Amino acid sequence: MSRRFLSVLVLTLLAMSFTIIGTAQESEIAGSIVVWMQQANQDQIEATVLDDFYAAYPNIEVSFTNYSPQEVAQQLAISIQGGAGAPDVALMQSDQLPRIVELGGLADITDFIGDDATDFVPSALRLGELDGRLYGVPWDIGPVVLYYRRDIFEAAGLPSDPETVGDLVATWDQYFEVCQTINDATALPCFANNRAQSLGDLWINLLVAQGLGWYSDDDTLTIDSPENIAALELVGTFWDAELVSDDLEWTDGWYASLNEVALQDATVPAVATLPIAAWMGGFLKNWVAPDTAGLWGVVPFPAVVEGGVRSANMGGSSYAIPAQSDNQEAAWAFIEFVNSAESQLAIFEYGDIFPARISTYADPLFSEADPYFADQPVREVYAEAALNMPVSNVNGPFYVIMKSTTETAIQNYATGRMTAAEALAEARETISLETGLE
Amino acid sequence: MTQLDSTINKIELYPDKNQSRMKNILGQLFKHRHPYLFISPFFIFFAIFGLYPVVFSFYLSFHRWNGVGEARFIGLDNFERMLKDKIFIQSFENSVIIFALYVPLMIFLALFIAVLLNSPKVRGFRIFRTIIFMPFITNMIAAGFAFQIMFNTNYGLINVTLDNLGLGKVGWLDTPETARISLAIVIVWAWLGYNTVLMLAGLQTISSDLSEAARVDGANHYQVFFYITIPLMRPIILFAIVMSTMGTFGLFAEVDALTGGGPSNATITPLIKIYGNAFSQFQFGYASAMSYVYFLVIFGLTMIQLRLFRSEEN
Repeated sequence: MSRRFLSVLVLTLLAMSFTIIGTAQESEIAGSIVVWMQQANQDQIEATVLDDFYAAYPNIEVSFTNYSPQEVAQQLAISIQGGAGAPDVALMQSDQLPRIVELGGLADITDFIGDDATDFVPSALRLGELDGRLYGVPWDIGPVVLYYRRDIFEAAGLPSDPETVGDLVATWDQYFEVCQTINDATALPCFANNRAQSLGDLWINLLVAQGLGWYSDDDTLTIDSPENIAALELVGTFWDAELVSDDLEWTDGWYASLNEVALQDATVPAVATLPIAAWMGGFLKNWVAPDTAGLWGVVPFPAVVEGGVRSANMGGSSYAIPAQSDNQEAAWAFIEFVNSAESQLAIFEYGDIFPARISTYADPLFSEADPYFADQPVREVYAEAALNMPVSNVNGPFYVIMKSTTETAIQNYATGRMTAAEALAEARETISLETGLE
Repeated sequence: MTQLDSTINKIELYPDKNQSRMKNILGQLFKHRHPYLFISPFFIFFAIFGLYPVVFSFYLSFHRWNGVGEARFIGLDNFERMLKDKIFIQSFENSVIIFALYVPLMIFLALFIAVLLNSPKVRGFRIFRTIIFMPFITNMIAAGFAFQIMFNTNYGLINVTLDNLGLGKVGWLDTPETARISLAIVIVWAWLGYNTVLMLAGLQTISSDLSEAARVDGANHYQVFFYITIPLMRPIILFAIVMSTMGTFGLFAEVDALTGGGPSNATITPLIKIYGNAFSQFQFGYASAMSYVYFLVIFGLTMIQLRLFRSEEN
């Protein structure tokens, strides 16, 4: 027996024993854990990977408590402040995560996650980071794309296949012209963009696409930077040219405009396009716009400047373990399992929860044709947007106050009470007072 | 003799006035310990949920605290910040405007309906009273969302009706002015029943002899209403106005469900502002300081109202 063979044998045995110990530990993790997430996410997990989780961890018992995504963060904050009542696992909106991280009271999961962290889209992963440690891990993200109605493009005499349309709306200037053409030919609005109660999502997308934000890396406020003002004025050009409808997102009029098949004489006119995140694809298909099946296409979000990034992010959610949890090992086992590449793919296929893991985008699932989108493999467009997602300073510890204050600023500008510069300067003043940032 | 005993003797020999009073109170307490025991649950709960927060937030108002860890003493910084806080100041202005928009109207309507219901000629008094009181017990969040849909600019019931009548559409929740009016409408809807029942209770204490005597003397309905009913209802009206004042500055669910404080912060009330700083931004110190200022403003306004009404009576 050679020395070499011996050492290989010893190593193999060692490796085997580690594996045995490993699997033994896996099934030995025991206890019951409480998971806070919204009902829809619980349903998705139950329908796809929960049974497999129980098979792998027979001694862990999971019980779910449902809160709305915003409510999870609110309740979590209260239980951290109160010192009791936090769950073992919380799934919250990623934009809410930084303020909870800042508050303290979340478990450090840096060692749990290890090198696997590099598989997550960086702009989403950094929301759970504080001083080089990780307190949350993204589950899904919202790569922003442009949905468009093939039939409306055709009615306006424009090409309607995704390849050509993608090039046609390569920049916001080109997109504006396309909107103008459609509006001239069909009198239909290009997209919905309410003025008086604007949620400001489009402006935020334009900032994120350029890697801009509300503050700089050294925490200086940039709310009213010249670039931010220009982005708001870009939104304004669509209002001024009357190319958009006044329907507010998530209201009945908005849903009706997305589900309207008729191009003429409809009570609520159909919209030609919809700039929004990839999770909307599932919503359109399943409950918002089932009547318009086969009429939609998906192309990358237009770049603000020629050759610029054609991507942004809206929403997404992240897992965290409160430090109060006395079974953090079991909590991590749950997160690790439902957040694996395999599980993310299964949940994506079932419920359109777009994976935050980069390694999933190479899966054949992404090149499957989708009949709702006239057999376009739309997930490829989503994945491209996810891979190009820029890092921006929008979702920080002060997200809530910055979001609501800039909403007011946009409303002031949209309804003509102020110029873009005045409105954003006022917002900056308010935010400075509220946050202490300069 | 130990030192303690000598002290006790001294106290007994030379009882201080205060000490004897204290002893007296303690003695009384002990004597009536059983009744006190029975009423103690209220005081225990009040101490925990009423007194403690009042004292603790006074302490917090001089500190910076996010709810976790140690509170940091910052002196009067929170109060200084308030002077610069345009939204906090605006929240009081909003309340005054909203108060002016709905309180006179609501009080008059409540009194008017109460007088109608109080008339012996009206049948089905209980049914009408129930119908009018119903909005008050309706969940405000649910009602707020229902109104939000009705006030929708393009497809809301109100605007569609107005449009069909050829009156054009109104951006109910779209401008600061109309949003305040919309809010006032919802508040009148929600609180009219409560105030009507209040007025009814008041009316039933007024002897019908007075109005009958006036009628014999030749007074008509209006004269009876303005010269007999209203003066006699003064205490009830005062009570309703004071309650409405507090209610207006403390508006929360109505605003939260209908406008969220917008547009342009036109419907933000002090309570919405305080809540936002406390529970969205975790600035418990600043929120506590604002609460104290809020309390002082309400206290001052109530005192002024009481004084005004009292001086009129004299």
